[in-house]
Amino acid sequence: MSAYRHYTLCFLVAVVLYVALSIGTWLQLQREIFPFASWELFSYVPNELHDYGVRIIQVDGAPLEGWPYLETLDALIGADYTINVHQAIQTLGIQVEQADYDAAEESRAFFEATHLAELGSVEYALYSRRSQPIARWRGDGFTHEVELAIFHRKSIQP
Amino acid sequence: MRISQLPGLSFLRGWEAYDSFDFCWYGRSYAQAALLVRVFYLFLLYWLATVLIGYWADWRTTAAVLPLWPVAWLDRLGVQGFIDGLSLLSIGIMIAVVALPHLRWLRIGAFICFLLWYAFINSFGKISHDGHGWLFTTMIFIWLPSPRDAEQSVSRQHLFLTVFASAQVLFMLFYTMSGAWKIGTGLGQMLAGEIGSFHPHALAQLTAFRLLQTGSDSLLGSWIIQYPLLGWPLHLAAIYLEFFALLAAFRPSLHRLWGIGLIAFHFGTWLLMGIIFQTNIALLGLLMVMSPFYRERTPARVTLGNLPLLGHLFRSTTASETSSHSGR
Repeated sequence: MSAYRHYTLCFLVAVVLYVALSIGTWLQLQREIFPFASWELFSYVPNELHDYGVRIIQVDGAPLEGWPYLETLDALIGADYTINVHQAIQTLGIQVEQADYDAAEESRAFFEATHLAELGSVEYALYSRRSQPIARWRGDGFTHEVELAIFHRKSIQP
Repeated sequence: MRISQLPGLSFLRGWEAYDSFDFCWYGRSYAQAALLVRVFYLFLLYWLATVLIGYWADWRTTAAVLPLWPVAWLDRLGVQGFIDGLSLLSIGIMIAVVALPHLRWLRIGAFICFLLWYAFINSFGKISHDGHGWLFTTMIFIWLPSPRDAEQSVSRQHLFLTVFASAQVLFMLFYTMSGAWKIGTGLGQMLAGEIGSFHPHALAQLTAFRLLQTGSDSLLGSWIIQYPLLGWPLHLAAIYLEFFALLAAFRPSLHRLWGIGLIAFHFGTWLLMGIIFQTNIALLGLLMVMSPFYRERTPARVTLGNLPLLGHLFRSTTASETSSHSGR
């Protein structure tokens, strides 16, 4: 077999394996094994958005009025609310809601170390929220909010 | 490369009546592919430089990492030791591979360095996808034959171009997978009576969803949310471009159009959703817009005649012209 035919055959086999592995992993585990991406990006259009958010209760003993959500506090945090911050909160929210407290403890430590590092002592609450995306973007707020837990550094107070 | 020549795919021969590349232009195509490979590694070096300039100092003092498997061992060195060592090694190898891309061991080194870099960048709780195309292209280019051999042998040029074409195919496969998910999930949501990919408000809904995720605004996001119907043709066009990207990879006359179309798609996601994929824009430029298989001055009617699903609308009037381009 010529070199290019041999290469083409190996490439095709690799592509089939890639597709099977990436899609199979995504369908089974709802996550991807790096770097085998399933490329399931923005395919589901959320009619009702279910996500998690963090309300800051107090910083260094000073309470914040109305417990504002973290995404509205860029100036206080000293950094933008990025997709990485959002993802860290979603991971923590899912684990707390599923009562997977060991995993949640690890996720919380990561979240505090990376995204609340600029603040001193912080007390914050984790919320599960439901909303209609366009209405919420226009300022109508949430249709449903439930407090899941309050964290004060490393002590969980459900 | 003709897709119908691949094992088990001879039934696709009919598709190729309007477009094929029979490698009779070895010299020109090979020279362009060889140049593009050099430029590819130059871009990789540029990317590394911008990342190091922006983040090297911050990463040395990073407080927490959730390492992906390629960098799971970084705790043994400590983050600072890992970053310093990998940065210095990567600078050396990337400069060397730009100068000497014909050395396979340097291309292997570039792949390993980039794999480690990219894995580290994604070890902060979320995997981004802006470098996957680069990572797999770097891996595929390991199999490029030496230019010295290729310059003396048509069969080695053929292998060189086949490897290059496989990078195009894999990169376009990523888009096709993304498009297939949108179509499948969209049909499911449509049957469930929900707003899905094909609904006139889909893009507005997705834009609002994304902007809420980041608590931010984008340049044109509010515009599309305010006038959702304007986003409908844009979203359908994006799904079309994505889904048929793999097919376009096998139709050289579509390479430039698909490259430009997907670049426009990435600019659109940035303007509407604030999602930045500038690395994919660069790779689309290298692999598709400047494709060595695209024949310069291909008539627009030939390109239109090769459009998936829509080509037949143009073929009847261009049959004679396309046939003159099919045997190049």
